[in-house]
Amino acid sequence: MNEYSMPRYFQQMEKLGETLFERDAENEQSLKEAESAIADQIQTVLENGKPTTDLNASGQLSAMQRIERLVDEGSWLPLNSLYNPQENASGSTGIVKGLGKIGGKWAVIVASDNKKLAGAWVPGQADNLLRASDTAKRLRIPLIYLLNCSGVKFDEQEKVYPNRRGGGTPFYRNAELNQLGIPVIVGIYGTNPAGGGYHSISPTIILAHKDANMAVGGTGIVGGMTPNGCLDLESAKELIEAQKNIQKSVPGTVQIHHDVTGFMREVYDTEDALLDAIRKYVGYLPSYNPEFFRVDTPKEPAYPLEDLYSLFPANARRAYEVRELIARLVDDSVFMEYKSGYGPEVMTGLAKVDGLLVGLVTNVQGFLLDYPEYRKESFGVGGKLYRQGLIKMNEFVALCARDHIPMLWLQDTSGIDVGNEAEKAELLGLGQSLIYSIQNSGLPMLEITLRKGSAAAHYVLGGPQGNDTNAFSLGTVATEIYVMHGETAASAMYGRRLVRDDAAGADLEPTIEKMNRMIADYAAKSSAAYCAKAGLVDEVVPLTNLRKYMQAFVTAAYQNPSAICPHHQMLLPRTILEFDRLFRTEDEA
Amino acid sequence: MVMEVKVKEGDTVKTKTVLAVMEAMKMEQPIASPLDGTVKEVKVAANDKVKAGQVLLIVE
Repeated sequence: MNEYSMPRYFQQMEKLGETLFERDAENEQSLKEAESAIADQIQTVLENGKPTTDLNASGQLSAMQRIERLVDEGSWLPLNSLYNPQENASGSTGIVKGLGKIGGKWAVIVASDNKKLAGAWVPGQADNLLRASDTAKRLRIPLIYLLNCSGVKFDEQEKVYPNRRGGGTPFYRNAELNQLGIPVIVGIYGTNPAGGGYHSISPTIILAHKDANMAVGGTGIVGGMTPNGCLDLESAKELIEAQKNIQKSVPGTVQIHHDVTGFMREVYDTEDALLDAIRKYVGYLPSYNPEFFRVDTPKEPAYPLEDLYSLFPANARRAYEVRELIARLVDDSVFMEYKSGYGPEVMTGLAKVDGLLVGLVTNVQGFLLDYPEYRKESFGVGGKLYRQGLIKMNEFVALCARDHIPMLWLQDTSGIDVGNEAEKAELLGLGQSLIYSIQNSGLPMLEITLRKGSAAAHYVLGGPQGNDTNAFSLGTVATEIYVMHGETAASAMYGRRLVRDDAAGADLEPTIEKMNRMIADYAAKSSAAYCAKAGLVDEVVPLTNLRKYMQAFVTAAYQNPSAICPHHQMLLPRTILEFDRLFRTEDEA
Repeated sequence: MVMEVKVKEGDTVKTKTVLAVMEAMKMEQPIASPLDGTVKEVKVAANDKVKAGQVLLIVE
C-alpha cells in the first residue's frame, strides 16, 4: 500500500451525486434501443467480406482474431468502427482500429482488415490511419500495425493514393512518430506490395510471418510496365505469358527482406508466435507504473453507471443535472470544483480516474436565473456559453497546462450567446481565446460530445479540430453535431423569402416545404450514426462504456508523458482552495 | 412558458418529484419539489407564459 502526496487536496474532494431518485424506463429503453442498433451496425461492418471460417481454412487469422490474441483480455476499445466517409460498399475503410493494452501498456492498434479486399487501401483509409497516428502522438503511446495490405484499390486510386492527407501521409507520420520518440511496431502478414510495402518499411521495428512479403511493387506490375495507351488481343496474350512467369517469383519475401536486407528483424512460423514477438517488443518500451502519478487509490464511482440511462435524457431539449452524470463517471464520485458559482453555465474542476488527476470541463444544463450579468432582466440557458464561463474555462485550461494535467471535455452545447450585448461582452474574442489556450496547453485531451455539439462552442469546448491536443473524440447515441439546429438554419436561409412572398401575396407552401426538407436533412446529417460514419466523433459509445474510454485515455496520458509537474508544486488545487476561502459561502460548501 | 403541470392541489409529493415542466429558448426544464409535502396551490396551467421569479406552485 502506497501513500500519496497532498492528501488534504486530493483525498478531501467533495462528494457529488445522490442515489437515483427514480428509474426512467422510457428514456432507458430509447437509449438502449439506439445503442443496440449501433452495436448491430458495428458487427455487420466487422463481418462484411470474406467469412472468417474461409480465412481460417486458408491458414490466416482475421484482423479481429489477431487483435484479440494480441491485447490483454478485456482491454480492447475500438475507435472509428463505423468510419466510412466515402461510403465504401464494405461499410469500412479496410482497417480495424482501437486502443488496447499489451502487457499492461496502452497502444494504438491498427489491423488491416483481411476480410475485405485482402486489406487493400480504400477511400478514407488514409485519414483513419492519420487519426491513429494522432492518438499515438497526443498520448505518446506506441502505434502497432498488424499489417496485411494488398496495396491500393486500383479502380479508386485517385481517392486513395495522392493528396496532402492521402496515401503517403501515414508514412510521413510514422517518420514523425519516430522523431518524437514514439515507437511504431509492425507485424507483417501476407502480401504487402507498394502502399503495403511502405506501410511495412516505415515503422521502427519490422516483424514478419514466414509467408509475408513487402515490396516497392507487386507481381502485377513487375512484368507489365510497358504502356502503349491501350490493350489489344496481342498485348493481352503477351500479358498472360508474362503473368504466368512472374507468379512464380513474388518480390520481397522473407528470403530477401530478412535473409538479405535484414529489414525484417525477426521472422516467425506461426501467427501466434508473431503476435508474441510484438508483445515482447512492447515489453521493451518505456512506461511509468501509474502508481508513480497517482494521488489516491483507484476507486469505482459510488453510484452505478446503469443510472445514466435514467439521468441522461435522450431528448436533447430536456435539461438534466450534470453533477449526477459526473458522479457516475469519476472515481469515488468526488470532484474539486474550480470557481464554483462563477460562470455557472460550465463546471470545471479536478477529478480522479484510476487514482490519476484529470481536468474536467462540462456544460451545465437548465435555466440560470439572473445570468449572464451583461444582460438585464434576462436569464441564461445551460448549454450556452457566456462571458464568465468562457473566462473560467480559459483560466482552467491555462492552469491544467501549467500543472500538466490531462483534460476531459464533456460537451452538450447549443452555442455561444449571440447579439450585440454578447458582442460587447467580448464573447467572440473569448471563444477564440479558448482555442488559443487549448493549443497553447500542449495537453492531451479527450472530448465527448454527450448530446449537442453546435456552432463554435463545439470547437472551443475541446473539439476534435484541436489537432495538436485532441487524442480522440467520442459520442453517445444522443449525439448530434451541426453548425446550428435545422430549424434555425432553415429560418436563417428562408426567413426573408417568406417575408417577401407574404408581402406579395404569394403561396408560402413551396418555401415551407423547402424549409422542412432542409430541417429533415440536417437531422439525418447530424445523427450519431452519421457522426460515426463521417468521423465527427471517433466512436459512438454506450453510456456504460464511457468510463472505460475515460480510464484508457487518462492512464494512457500518464503512461509516458513528455512533461511532469510535481504534485506539491501544482497551482490549480491551491487556486481552487483560495477561491473557495474568499468567495464560497458555508451554504454552498 | 409552462409546458406541463404534473400535479394538482392536494397531491402528496416527495423531494425531487417533478411538479411542472417549463420551456424557454427551445429547452425544457423540469421543476422538482424541494421538499416532501402536499401541493397547496397550483397557480399556473399548461401554455401559460411566466416570468423569472414568478410563483408557479405552493408546496407545504
